[in-house]
Formats: sequence, structure tokens, C-alpha cells
Amino acid sequence: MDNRELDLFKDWQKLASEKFSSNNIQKQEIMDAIHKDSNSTISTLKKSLKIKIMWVTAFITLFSTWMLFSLDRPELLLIVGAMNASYFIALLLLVSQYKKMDSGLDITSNTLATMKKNLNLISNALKIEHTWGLFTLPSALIVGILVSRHYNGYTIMETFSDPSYLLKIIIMMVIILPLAFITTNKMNKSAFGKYIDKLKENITRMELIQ
Amino acid sequence: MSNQLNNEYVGLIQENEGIIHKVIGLYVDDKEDRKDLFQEILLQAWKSYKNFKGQSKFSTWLYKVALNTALTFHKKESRQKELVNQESVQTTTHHEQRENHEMLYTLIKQINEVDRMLITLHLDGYKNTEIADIAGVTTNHVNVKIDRIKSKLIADFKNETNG
Repeated sequence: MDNRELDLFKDWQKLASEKFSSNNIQKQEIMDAIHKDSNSTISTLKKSLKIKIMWVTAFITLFSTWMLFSLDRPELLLIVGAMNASYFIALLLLVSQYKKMDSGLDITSNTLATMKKNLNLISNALKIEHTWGLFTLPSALIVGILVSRHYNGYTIMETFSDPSYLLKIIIMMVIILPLAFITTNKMNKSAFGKYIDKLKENITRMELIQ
Repeated sequence: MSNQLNNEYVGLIQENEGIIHKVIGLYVDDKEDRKDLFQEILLQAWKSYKNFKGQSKFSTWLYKVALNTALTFHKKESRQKELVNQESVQTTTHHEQRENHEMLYTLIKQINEVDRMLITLHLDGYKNTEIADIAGVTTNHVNVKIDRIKSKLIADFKNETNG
């Protein structure tokens, strides 16, 4: 049997002076820290978005060059042009999200607002990553089939009216779309699932105090 | 000018580094995560420091930045498992042999992150209006919540020492 009493303030002071009062941080340590890259989740996602932006830009350049050399092939121009246009839309979305992430978070606002904003920015970035994975693979496959058929002398209409190719495209969609959906979902969940759940849990707890 | 700002910031951080150690100690256990969070708090505070106009004390402002950074910090998955292991070791230690303040540390670390934030600000002498302002919640509810957390800590302490 132990009849000790806890004096919250006194014991906290003792704890603070024993555990948290070291004063040995050097100027150089602070300077190094402020010149390093951020390791926050938003910065990590920003880096990943930047890489995607670079990839999309490279594809747009490639498709545009291809289009320039295919001016005498209206069918091919149509296929590659459609793909290029969709990549251009993707580029605009990625850049706008990147800019939002750049200026989005104010770490000096209150904690609830910071957590909500953080969750919002991360969810949006992951949604874009998800959509990106969902869109690029199937569309690249369809364009691949159409282009290879075009070079073999078949028109888009002929490819689509050929039941065997139509079936191939449908089967690809049926298999690849859910597969891409599940894979991107799983990747995002394994990388950020627990973190997002914890963030949501803390937001809910904070809102319950409101 | 930039050099002056650097020196000013370094001085203020050195004066208040206890706040950073406190937040890190309360929210992260893994050594690497602690290092990462330490760097992140210094970086986030520096990024916002240019806009710090002294509306509040620097210590209060830094506390808020440190808490916001800690509560949005992404711990590494594998390290989270290590953290759980470490905490389970801590909770199975014989409390009778430990001093009150060490037990208080363990008990505070066992409560959820939001309650942990409210109680540490309270124990550091912040008024409920200031706590409500930092957290983004209403003052009345902060009063009630803090009373509940304190009662729970005292009850848990009694359970551990008498049980």
C-alpha cells in the first residue's frame, strides 16, 4: 500500500526541469536545421507531385513532337492529340494543387485549423495521385493499341468495329481499371493510412471539445 | 538585416528550447523521429518567424508552432511499432519504485494526443482562454475538459500506487 499524493503542478515542474530543460542547442544546429529540406508530409507529397509534373511535361513534349511529325496522318493526330490534351489537363490540375500546397498551411494558426488544413491538402494530393494512377495506365494501353493498329493500316473506326479488338479493350478495362484502383488505393493507404486516421481522430477529439 | 534576423531567431530559440524538448518528449519516442521532429519544428518556426509581430509572447507562439508541427508530424510506420513496444515496457514497470514526476510523465503520455496538449499547456500555467485560442476550441469546454483530464490523472495515479 502506497499513500503518495500527486501534486500535478509541483510534479510537472519537477518533470520539466529534469527532462526538458537542457540548454545546449548550438547556433550551428539551428542554422543547419533551417537550411535543410522539410520532412513534413506536405513536403513529401509536394516532392512527389513535382516529379509527376516533370513526367507529364516530358510526355506532353514527346506527344507534341510526335504530332509535329505526323501532320500528314489525321487519324494519328487525333489519337495522340486527344492523349496530349488529357495530359495537358492533368498538368494544369497538378500545377494548381502544387501551388496550393506551397502556400496552403499556416503553422501559426490554431491547432484545429492546422490539422484540418493539413488533412485537406494531403487528401487532395492523394486523390490526384489516385486519379493519376487510374487514368494513365488504361489510357496508355488504349492509345498503344490504336497507334499500333494505325501503323498497320487500320483506322480508329475499324479497330473499334473489330469485335476481337473491342473485346481486348473491354477486357483490359475490366481487369486493369479495378486493378489500378486497388493498387493505387493500397499504396496510398500503406504510406499514409495510419497517419490520416490519426489526424482524423485528433480532429474529431478536438471538435468534441467545441 | 538577414543576419540580424538570424541572430535574433537563434537567441530566442536558445532561450526557449525547453519548449521544443518538451513537445518532442511528449509526442515522439523514437530517436530518429525525435531528430526529424526537432529539425522540422525549427524549420517551421523559422519560416513563420518573419511574420511574427510580437502579438503574443515568443514562448507562446513557439509552443503553438511546436504543437502544431508535432500533431501533424508523420511518424514512420516501422518506428511506430517500436514506440508501442517501448510504451508497453514503460507501463509494465513497477510504479511503486518510481518517483511521482516520472509516473506523471508516463500517465500523461498514455492519454490521447489532444488531451495531452491541453493538460501540458494547463500545467505550464497557460490560462484557459489562451489554451482555447491555441487549440481553436471554446474556453468553456476547455475548463470542463481539463478538470476531467486532471481527475483522470489523479485517479490513474492512485490506481497505480495503491493497486
